[in-house]
Amino acid sequence: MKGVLVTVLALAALVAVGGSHLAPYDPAAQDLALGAVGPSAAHWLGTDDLGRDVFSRLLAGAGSAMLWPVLVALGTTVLSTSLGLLAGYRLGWVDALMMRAVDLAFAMPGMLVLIVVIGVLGGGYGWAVLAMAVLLTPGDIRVIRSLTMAQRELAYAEAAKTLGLRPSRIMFRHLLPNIAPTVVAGALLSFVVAMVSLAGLSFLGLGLPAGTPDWGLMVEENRDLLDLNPWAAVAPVVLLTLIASSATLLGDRLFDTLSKGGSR
Amino acid sequence: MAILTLISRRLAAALVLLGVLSVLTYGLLVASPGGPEQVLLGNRPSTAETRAAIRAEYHLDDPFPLRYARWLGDAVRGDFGISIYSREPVVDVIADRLPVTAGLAGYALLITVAVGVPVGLVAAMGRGGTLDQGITLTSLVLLAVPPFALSILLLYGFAVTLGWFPVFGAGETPMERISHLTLPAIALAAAQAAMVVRQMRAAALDLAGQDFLTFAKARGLPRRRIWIGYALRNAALPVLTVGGLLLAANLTGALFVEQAFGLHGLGALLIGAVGQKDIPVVQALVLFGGAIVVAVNLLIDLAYLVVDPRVRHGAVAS
Amino acid sequence: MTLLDVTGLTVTGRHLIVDGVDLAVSAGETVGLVGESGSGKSLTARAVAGLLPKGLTATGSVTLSGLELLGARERVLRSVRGARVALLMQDPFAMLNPLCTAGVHIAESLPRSPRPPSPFPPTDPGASPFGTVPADPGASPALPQGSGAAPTRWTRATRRAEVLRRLAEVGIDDPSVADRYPFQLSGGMRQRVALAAALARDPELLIADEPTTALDATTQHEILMLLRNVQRARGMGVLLITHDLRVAFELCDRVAVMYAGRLVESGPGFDMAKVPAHPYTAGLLAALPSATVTLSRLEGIPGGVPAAGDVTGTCAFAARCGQADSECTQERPPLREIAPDRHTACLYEVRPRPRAEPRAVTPREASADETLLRIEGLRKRYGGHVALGGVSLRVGRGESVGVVGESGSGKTTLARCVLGLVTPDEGRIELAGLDLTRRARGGGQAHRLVQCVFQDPTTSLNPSLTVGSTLAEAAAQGTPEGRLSVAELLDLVGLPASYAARRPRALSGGQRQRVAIARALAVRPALLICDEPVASLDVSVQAHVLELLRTIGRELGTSLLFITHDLAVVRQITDRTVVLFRGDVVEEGETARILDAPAHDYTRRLLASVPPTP
Repeated sequence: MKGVLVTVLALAALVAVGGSHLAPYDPAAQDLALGAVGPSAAHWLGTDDLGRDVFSRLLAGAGSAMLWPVLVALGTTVLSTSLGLLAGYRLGWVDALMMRAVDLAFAMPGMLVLIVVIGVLGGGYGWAVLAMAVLLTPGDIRVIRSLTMAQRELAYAEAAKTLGLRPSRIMFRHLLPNIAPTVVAGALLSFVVAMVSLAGLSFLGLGLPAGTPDWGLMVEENRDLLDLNPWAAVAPVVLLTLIASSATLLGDRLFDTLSKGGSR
Repeated sequence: MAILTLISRRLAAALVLLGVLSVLTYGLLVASPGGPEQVLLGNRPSTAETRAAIRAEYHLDDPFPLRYARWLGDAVRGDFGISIYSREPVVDVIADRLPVTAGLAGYALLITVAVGVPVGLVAAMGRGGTLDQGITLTSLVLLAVPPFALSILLLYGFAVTLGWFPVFGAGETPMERISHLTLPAIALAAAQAAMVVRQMRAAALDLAGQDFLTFAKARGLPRRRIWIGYALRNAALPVLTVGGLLLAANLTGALFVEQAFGLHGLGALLIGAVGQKDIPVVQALVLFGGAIVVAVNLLIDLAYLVVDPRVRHGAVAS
Repeated sequence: MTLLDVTGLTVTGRHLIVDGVDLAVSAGETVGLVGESGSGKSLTARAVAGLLPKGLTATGSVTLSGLELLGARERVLRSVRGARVALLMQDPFAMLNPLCTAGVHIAESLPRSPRPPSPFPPTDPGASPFGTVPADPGASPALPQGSGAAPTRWTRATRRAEVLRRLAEVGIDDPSVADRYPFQLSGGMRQRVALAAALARDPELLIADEPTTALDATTQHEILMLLRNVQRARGMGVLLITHDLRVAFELCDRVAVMYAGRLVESGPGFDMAKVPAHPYTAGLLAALPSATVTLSRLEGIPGGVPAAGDVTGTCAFAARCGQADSECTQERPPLREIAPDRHTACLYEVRPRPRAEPRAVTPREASADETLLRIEGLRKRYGGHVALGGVSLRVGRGESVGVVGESGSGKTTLARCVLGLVTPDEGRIELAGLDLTRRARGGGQAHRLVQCVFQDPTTSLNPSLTVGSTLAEAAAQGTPEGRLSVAELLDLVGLPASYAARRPRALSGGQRQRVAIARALAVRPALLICDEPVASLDVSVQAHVLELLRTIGRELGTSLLFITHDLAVVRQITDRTVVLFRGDVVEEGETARILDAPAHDYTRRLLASVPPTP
């Protein structure tokens, strides 16, 4: 099971990095005379209403569809892990302040605000990516913090403190390895949420100019073609679904394996 | 007394949240490209006179706090001004679109609870078995699939290929409406039901290992008493906790689902208004959404008070 | 008359857990089932109650007045549970429904109608001529004495009155307790409420699974006495599961000792205490610390408990037994009768163990005059709760001082203040001339002066680090000169050097506590604080760890501040003792003097609650 998941994700990563070089056609090249047709030997996944090759556009969009979410996941994980550890270990005012902010962020309909801000104030894809990271961080901080608080009460953490170890050493060498399963699973989950949400934003026509080879945008632009060439809309959906669920399942499995290996 | 302090603290927090949200919302108008005049003018010709009229009508020359206070005062009374696009009162526009979204959300909620709770329990009972593994796997996958993607798959599979359901629109008669809303509701409910399944399963498994359940059995209590008085009440608490999360997912999910199925609900209204820079409509919708989230979270807190004596007596924070 | 008859009870899950246990409880009799953790005693109790956790199966026979319970249909079991067999469990904090009041727990457990419960429907195979009437109704103060025509249904008023009467039976006279939720009650109160609920349908047999283990010493004693009184008043049969031989001997008519899933010895408690007939029982008895004499050496039992499935064809104890020979591993020794009602699973007569001689009370070396730790007027509040109300004490160099108290006495807060994990509100802590009151303290030297061994062996070591890296990290915090290597540290606590590569999960509880001791000693501290270091360990392991702490203290000249609730432990390991009660020192002095002639009322109560050591 895990092997399958890793293979799917590795393939996806490969396509994300080298996808645009593999594309058989120029993803922007139009063939208005052809229009939207179903799969054929020349066009494996058919074409869209402007006669653009769906397979090539899919490959061209793979990079941004996955690389940005990876950045978001890395950013959120690093940020939320260090802030969560700090809040949970130090407690006191650092914690109180951070938790107020997190509570506030949590109670807001985040995605709604994001849509409005990106939609009304313009701001490009870059802002959307940044906002994504900001949206995801509070939840992760809360999780890491509560785990840290539970760990710091345990005898081994108290012993480390009694030994006069530096707080940074206690946090990163002693506490972090014991919450690592959650951090790893959380990072994968952040990746999934970011990928799905960014695709969702472009599905709503936000953040990217029309015509960009982006998976979410392709769904939006081609969802009226379900009867002519369903693959134009269904293929990006299938890819998103496949990658998102593989990453989620892998996160789940990794969490199980890591927590068994670490603490029993 | 603890209970009063608790309620008043929750209420105060809710008000603060709404306040922050309203400032942000109002700030939208000021911060939008071209400034408020441009936004409020919409597609009317921009002459010196129209500009002056707008400035006077919206008191744009007053200081920001004053303008905000006036806007908030109106908003609280239900007056969000006139839609720039349709030239109708914002409240009417929203009232017009509300039934579709409410129907969709209610339908989805029904599916979520009706499917999520029993399936979660079934998974817990057959812990570790094939059925449990299948349910766990499916719920993880459903959690990962975004509503818009699921919408497209459902549309393609059930509406276009099989032709069981209509493709677009919300229908007119109640029966039509149900068949029109079924696929969207499923698309919206899938992820939430998955969340409930996981929560329910975890809560049930946690309960099964609890001493108090064994002790209840050991006293020979009737099965009904054990299920309702012990299992259900205690399992309700953790499931209740995800209620707020569910709602937030419901709100944003509805946006995508309406867009995918071409339903003219509040979500579609918001996307349209955002595209047309129809700021008054956007403001009203964001505040409306925020108010719902805050209100439901408040209700969940109150439900905790009713169900859990520990919260009621201030022994633990909810 | 035999009430409960268990024969050949075997419980299997993924492995064999309980292996062919025979047990009988007569009406009005209290039988103790004693064993250390992993012996299978609790699952035996669960199997008897028909409440085995999912995934475990029981074979053999369990009969209640002739009615077979093993494999009986759920409907039969439900008619027996509560009405004829009741179960009281260990953790009073987990046993009650957090969402219901004490009164509701009792009310819901009462029989359907107020009269002595109606006989079972005639078709019910659970029907017995005894019904649910206790053996001697006249002796039971708890039975509703029907006044005239008995009503057939509860009314609010009669139910309430009955609940209050039941509470009174378990020693709760305050009617407001009925309206309180479990979280508003102390552990002892919860256990009383649970007992009242368990007895609500007047069962003939009560199975009590470690009913006092989670409670404080004085509360423990109260609950045990309550249990005894209720048992006598009702003439009920009781099966008491406990890890504590002393409790079993004090309370039970007959005692059965379990080891690795089987019975190794059974008989009247009085006889067994005097002349144990199995080397394991003898070993357990020898390992018990005594509150009345200071022993020169504490004897544990070497090795650890094997899994029941690994020793099916041999004497389970052979590998740890001092008098085992080749016969012992040939086949499984049967439970043989050596005297009327007295059985042992040992082939031989137990060689009398020379009980360790009482230690001549020699005060430690003279340097005890030199003060190492001085605490003056230490105060700490948590909100409205006073944890420390002005505590002063002194520990001399090389001296071992015990701090005794129950939960809420402030003993742990005291330790944490000295360790710098908690900052006191007022007062002064001076260690080796350094002011350690605030933790910006001692120029970063504090950790070289004082270290700690914590209570819980399951969390005392970082699960993600190897033993070696834990110890190396600790040693690096000490001064470079005289730094001990990992191997030396392991040797110090009696573990092989190869353990350095292990992770904590590959160690037993006792081994983990040894590593924790080595970690604390790695910086060569002048003062070692021990916060209940053996409270979570089995008796046979406990003795080893205590002996280790005692010799190390002597050899390295380390002073000990020993925090414990256990007076027997304090007797064995400390020179002087301080008794804490609700944040105040109520008595202090030489340990022997305090335990032999306590001056304060609270100390006397504590002492009275220690079960007598046989």
